[in-house]
Amino acid sequence: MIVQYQWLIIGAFIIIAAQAVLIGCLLFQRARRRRVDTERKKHDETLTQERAFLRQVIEIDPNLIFAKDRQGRFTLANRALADIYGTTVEGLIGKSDADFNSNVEEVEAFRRADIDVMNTLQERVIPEERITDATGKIHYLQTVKRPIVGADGTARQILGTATDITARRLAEQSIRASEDFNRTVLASLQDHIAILDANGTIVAVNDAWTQFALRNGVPPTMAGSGVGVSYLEVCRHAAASGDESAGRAQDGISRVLEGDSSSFVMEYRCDAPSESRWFLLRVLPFRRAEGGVVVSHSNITQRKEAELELGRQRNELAHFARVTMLGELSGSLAHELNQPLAAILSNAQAALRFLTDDDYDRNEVREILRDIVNADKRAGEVIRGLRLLLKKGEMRQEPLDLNEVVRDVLGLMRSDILNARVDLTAELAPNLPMLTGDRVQLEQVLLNLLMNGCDAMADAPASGRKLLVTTRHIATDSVVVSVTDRGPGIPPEDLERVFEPFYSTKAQGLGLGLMVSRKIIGAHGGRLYAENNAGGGASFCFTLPANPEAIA
Amino acid sequence: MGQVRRRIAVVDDEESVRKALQRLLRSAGMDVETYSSGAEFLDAMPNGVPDCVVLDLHMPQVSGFEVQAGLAKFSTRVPVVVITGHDTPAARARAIAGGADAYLLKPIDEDVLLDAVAAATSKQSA
Repeated sequence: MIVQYQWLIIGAFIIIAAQAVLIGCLLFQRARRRRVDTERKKHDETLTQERAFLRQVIEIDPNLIFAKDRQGRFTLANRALADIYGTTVEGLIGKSDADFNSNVEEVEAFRRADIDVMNTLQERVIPEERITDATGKIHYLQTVKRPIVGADGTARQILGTATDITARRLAEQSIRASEDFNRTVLASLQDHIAILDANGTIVAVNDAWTQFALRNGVPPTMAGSGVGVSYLEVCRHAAASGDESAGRAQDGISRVLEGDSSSFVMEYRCDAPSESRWFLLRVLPFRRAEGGVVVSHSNITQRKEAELELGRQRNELAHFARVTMLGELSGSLAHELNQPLAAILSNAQAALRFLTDDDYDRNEVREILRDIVNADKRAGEVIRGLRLLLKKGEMRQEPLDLNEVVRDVLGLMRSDILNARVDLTAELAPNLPMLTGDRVQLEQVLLNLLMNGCDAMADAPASGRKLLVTTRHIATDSVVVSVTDRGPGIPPEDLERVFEPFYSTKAQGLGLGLMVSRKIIGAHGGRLYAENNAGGGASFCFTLPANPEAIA
Repeated sequence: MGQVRRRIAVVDDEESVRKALQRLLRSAGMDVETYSSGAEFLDAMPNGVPDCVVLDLHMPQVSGFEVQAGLAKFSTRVPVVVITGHDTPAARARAIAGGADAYLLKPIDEDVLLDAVAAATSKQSA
């Protein structure tokens, strides 16, 4: 019985103990579950937070970010992409490109790339692709697509990011266009253009430069570009072999390269076996930090030939006019020559007479001989002046003191002015700047104007024959000479006509003087014009450019 | 001998010519006074009338023609030998009309000048 109870008690105890263990286990399990739940909840919260954060990152990214499944449906998208398609992120999910993009070609291209990436499991970079936005505007994208590989090793989605490169592409296009433009401009220029660096080495040339070098037998290796060749050296070499203009070019280029001059220009003749051409060399600084110059050679043969022809014609005409004027001047010239000849003859004959007396005065004879020598020299001067006046030649460019030219002419015309019984006044401005020009030609103009002035007053009473010659400095770089008479003046409608050839009011004379004079003044860079004076009579004035630095 | 030396006036603005003519006339035994302008000569007239005046036409201010006109105002006639380096028919006519005894062109040969002066003065004395 006791044993039975014992077993009963033991059994009951075991049952109770087992139940307690069970309960304990249950309690423990519950507690553990509660803890796991809490942890999971916390984990889920963190995940949600991270997801929201990532979402924000994706949202603010200006690049287009998306994921698509095998059917082409968006499983992920950001606002940048939604903006392109004119919808919301939510509106994109579950839809495909075809739902928003009407351009079939673009949609197919996207699709092909997506499938390709999923099939090959290879990331793909598409350097440039088009996408048409909701407004129909085309954007250019640079896209990267990457497969999202699942546990089974296959890809059911792709992840893509695309950068909108439209603006960059436009900028590149415009740079390319402007480069093309500049290249085309340079290539279309007929001038031969080269750019030299600060050492005078050619760094770029245009087509015309290359072509010219080729045509002139420069080795193609050198001419092919000319780039890399020291142009200064080329000039030095040519100068050493006797090309004088190359020496001048070298000097000019060096001066601009070194900043000693702001530019250099020269005209030169280039004699080829077949023809001779004229070029204008221009050297200008190449405006960039590294320095250098732009050298251009322009073919000016046509202009130069026209100029030379004009010059020849002008010289012919001027010579003709001088010969004509000689006739008009003959009175003055005869007088100028006859004076010293008269002195020589009478002196010599007087000396011969003195010598017949045995005690002649040696001093007197010596003095006579000295006077003869002087008079002879004076006659020589007149002849020399005459030859100079009649000399047929090219227009000279020499520094001139205008007042001196006026005084010389007045000296030469002294006798004519006396003959014409004209009262001449000269008002010459002191400190006139120097001019550059042809003395004889300017003398010729003055002679012509003074003679015309005298002739215009031929019918006036002697007391009214007044001629005024003035020189004035009217601007820093300009002087004016005027010859004013008290004649009848010029009918207003003829103020210009007087410069036409063969316009003459005189009995003698061809009427070429004023035309030639105007040409001469024009060739000196000045202007000859006529005007009527308020108080009667006419004035002929001419301007001439002056050298402001040089004071006469 | 005993011949009265003739007094000749030379009027020319050109000094070299004036001096040369003075020497030549002096070498021929004449007394010579020179004047560099017509006015100077006319001013000196009251101080003594020359036997003959050798007169240049081309002179500033008072020309040879004006000297001729000025001489006409004096009671004594003075023979005039006009000399010029610039011969024109008009000048010749005017000089002759103005009473010139001779019209000579520069350069003047001694015989021509001396003959002209001699002729002019002898006409005077005649």
